Amino acid sequence: MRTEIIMALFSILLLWMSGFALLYLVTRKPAGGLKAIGVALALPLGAALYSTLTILFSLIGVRRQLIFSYYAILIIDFLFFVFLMTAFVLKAREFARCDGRLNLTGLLRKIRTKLTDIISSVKNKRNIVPLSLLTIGIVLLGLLFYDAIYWARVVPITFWDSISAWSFKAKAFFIDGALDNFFNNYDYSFTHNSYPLAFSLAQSFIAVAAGGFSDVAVKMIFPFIYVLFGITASSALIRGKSLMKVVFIVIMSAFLLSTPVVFDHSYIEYPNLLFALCVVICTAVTFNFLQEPTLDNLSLASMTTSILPLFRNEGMIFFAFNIIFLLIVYFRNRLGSKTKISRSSLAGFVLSFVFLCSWIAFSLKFRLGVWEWGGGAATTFQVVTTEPMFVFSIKTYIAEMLFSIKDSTGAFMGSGYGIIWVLIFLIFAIRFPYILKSRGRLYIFLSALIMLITYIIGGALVPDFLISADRYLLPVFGVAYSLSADLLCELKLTGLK
Amino acid sequence: MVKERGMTRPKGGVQAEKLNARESVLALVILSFLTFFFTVFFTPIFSEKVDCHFIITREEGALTVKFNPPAASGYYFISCGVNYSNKTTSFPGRVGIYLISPQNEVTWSSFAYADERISYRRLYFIDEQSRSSSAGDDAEGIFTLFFPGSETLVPHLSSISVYRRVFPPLDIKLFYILSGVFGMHNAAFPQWLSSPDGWVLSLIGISISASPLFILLAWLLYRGVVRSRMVGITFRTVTMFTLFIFLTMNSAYFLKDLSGLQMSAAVTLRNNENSVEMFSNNLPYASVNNFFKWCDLSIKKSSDVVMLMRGSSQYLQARAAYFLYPRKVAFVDMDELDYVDIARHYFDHGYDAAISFEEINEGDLGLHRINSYRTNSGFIYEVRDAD
Repeated sequence: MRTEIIMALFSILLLWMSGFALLYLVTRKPAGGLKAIGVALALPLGAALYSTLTILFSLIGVRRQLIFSYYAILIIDFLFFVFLMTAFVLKAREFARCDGRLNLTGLLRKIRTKLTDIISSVKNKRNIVPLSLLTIGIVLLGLLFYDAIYWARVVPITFWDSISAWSFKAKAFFIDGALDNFFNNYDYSFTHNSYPLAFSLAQSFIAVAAGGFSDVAVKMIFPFIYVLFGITASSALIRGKSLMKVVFIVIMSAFLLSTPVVFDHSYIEYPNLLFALCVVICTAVTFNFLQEPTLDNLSLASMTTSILPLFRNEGMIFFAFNIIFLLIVYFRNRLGSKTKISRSSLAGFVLSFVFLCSWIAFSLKFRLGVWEWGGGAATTFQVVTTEPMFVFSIKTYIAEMLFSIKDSTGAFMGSGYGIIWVLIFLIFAIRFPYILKSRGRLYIFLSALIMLITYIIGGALVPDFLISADRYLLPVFGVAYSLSADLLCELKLTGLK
Repeated sequence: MVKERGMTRPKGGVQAEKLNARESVLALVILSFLTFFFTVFFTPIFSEKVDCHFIITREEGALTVKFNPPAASGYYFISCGVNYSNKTTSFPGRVGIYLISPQNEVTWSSFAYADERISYRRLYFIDEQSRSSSAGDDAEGIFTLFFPGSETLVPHLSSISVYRRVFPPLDIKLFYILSGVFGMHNAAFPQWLSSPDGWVLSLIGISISASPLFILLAWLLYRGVVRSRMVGITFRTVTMFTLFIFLTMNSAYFLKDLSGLQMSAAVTLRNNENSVEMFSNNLPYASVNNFFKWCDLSIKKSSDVVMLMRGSSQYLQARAAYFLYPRKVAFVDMDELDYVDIARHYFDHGYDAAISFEEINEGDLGLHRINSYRTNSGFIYEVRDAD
């Protein structure tokens, strides 16, 4: 059991590192120049890369696709590792040649200076409040992560919906070593073949690396997603460095991670939190592009957006909205006429094209259907305009936000939101003029709104979706929380000296 | 790379945004009033204990508590602590606790820790609606608390008492009004509003609401000093700070729940390293999982399986397909009249094994039993040879 879990953790690191490699390839900057968001992006990006490689191998006709793409990931990781080591050695030599500061004595001296700084600041009662708050926050985050790991280890795969749609496919792909057999020879009504495969394949990757499919080991990815979601959603829009900001981010992360619906997703097998993480990162990267509209940022934003359809079906809708928005900004700023497309930004566009097209080609080849629910555009229009289901759907989502009426996961904490939605509404209401003034914040606000409307229309079309309103609200929640954290961070208590 | 963004304040506008000291104090007083209002009317801090006679019965492990609700009208809630324990060791588990009113069943899918050291308390309220509905009943509105249990998992009642809210409970009233507006009449009252940790929240609330009062007092005493210090606080800052405090309170409540989980986790890990199996034995559907795992070991990998079941539960179907992969599994509903023909159709097309939770008529289907999970349930059959 323990070996499996250690191997699972190791394989998650492999997946993560391949994401870093890809980010470096596109942007030529560590973590894509995005800092915390880049670190969080690397994990879903690695999963998307593995899934795309497997799908491409399957389209070519390779027999043991999962194993081949596993080796491909290993090779990418190895090359990236060699590159990192080389860069490190070159950097160290450069340091040594210039002033010889990078030796053990110098390093020790640096650490000692840093420690003395902290100790003297504590002694002089300088920064003592932020430092103690930071300590409390970090301890809280650590405890929450430990809790998540514990529950992910103890609770076996349990939740039927996630078994039928996600974990079952992961196990099937692992046993077959390929994607084709499952789609060609098995026809179960409950597996929802139109669902994207990146998440199931990430679980298969863990099983391949661990050498066996264990119900518990494949779930080890969830605690990481959980913590990344908390930190990303709290820090996505906050810029600038200061101790108070770090303290604020850590505390806001702890607040977010203690919300029952988020904690429940740290050990059950639904991929909604992973999708919410992707959505938050996607909006944050687009926000970044709006702040600094360059081609490099555009390519990064399009690449991030294109991984959304690989994790959930509604990702295709969000992808469409975001791409249209990006194109509008692109043409309004006339970026094309100003700059020449660099090699790195071209890599981003090509990758986003490959991510999307490979999945569409695969679903066309196996007739999976991109969307299996509801009718066409005409039906949607009819339902939205005439039927009372639309009103019922709106009521359900608002009631879910206010009272957490749905508990679709049946997990320990009851999937509640507490009063957090009320607070978010109030924060938005108080600072609404401020949201309107900034283009980036307005984008974040509108994207949360559009997502909510999408889910409301989805609920009107397919009433079954309303049972899981708590889970579907998660992406909207993440984006709205990131904006409210940003608005709260602007709060300055300078008056009380 | 990223430019500094957001609003830059115009130099002359700084003073315009600031309120003067009197307005700041007014804002603080409003904040204080709001928090006090929230504390008194939205949390159960002011409530009195009511004497009640409880009848506790135990049947096959399950625990039933019956009591007559107090005669006077009002808003009541029940606070009860329950431990779940095993004979040998303690471990966490998820169980449902149900409050059953005489007429309509009010279900609370909350859970209790099955740990001897941690008793989990949750409040239940008896509101006027359920009282009035039960008033005309012959049984005089006996309320029943039901704690499911089994031979291995035994609930123990550590404490139980009924309280009455002194002030009008606006949280409950607001919930009923809003749930009516949203058409959710049957929705359960949210746990975060009815929890005993409301007590903790109340204490935090009172201390927060008291602090501005102290500031007000200080302002009255030392006007000059305070005025110079508070001049920078804007109304916006105060409101946002209030929201931040509410966020903290919200999180503190859930963190308390989580800290319970944390302690439970630590105790369990120390007590029993092998807790995974014990845990899974007591989860709903876990015994079904174990049955399918056993089937996976007992049936040949090459044979495809027909699962004979009552109804068409996707819960069971997904599990069977998951655990028995790479075998193909076909599902036959035994409640249908022609199920024998359907099953035979599968057996004719290469399916050579069958599983069932209950005993079936082997002769009709041309099967013979090869193994059983328990003596009276969970069977594996094989297709009998043609001869």
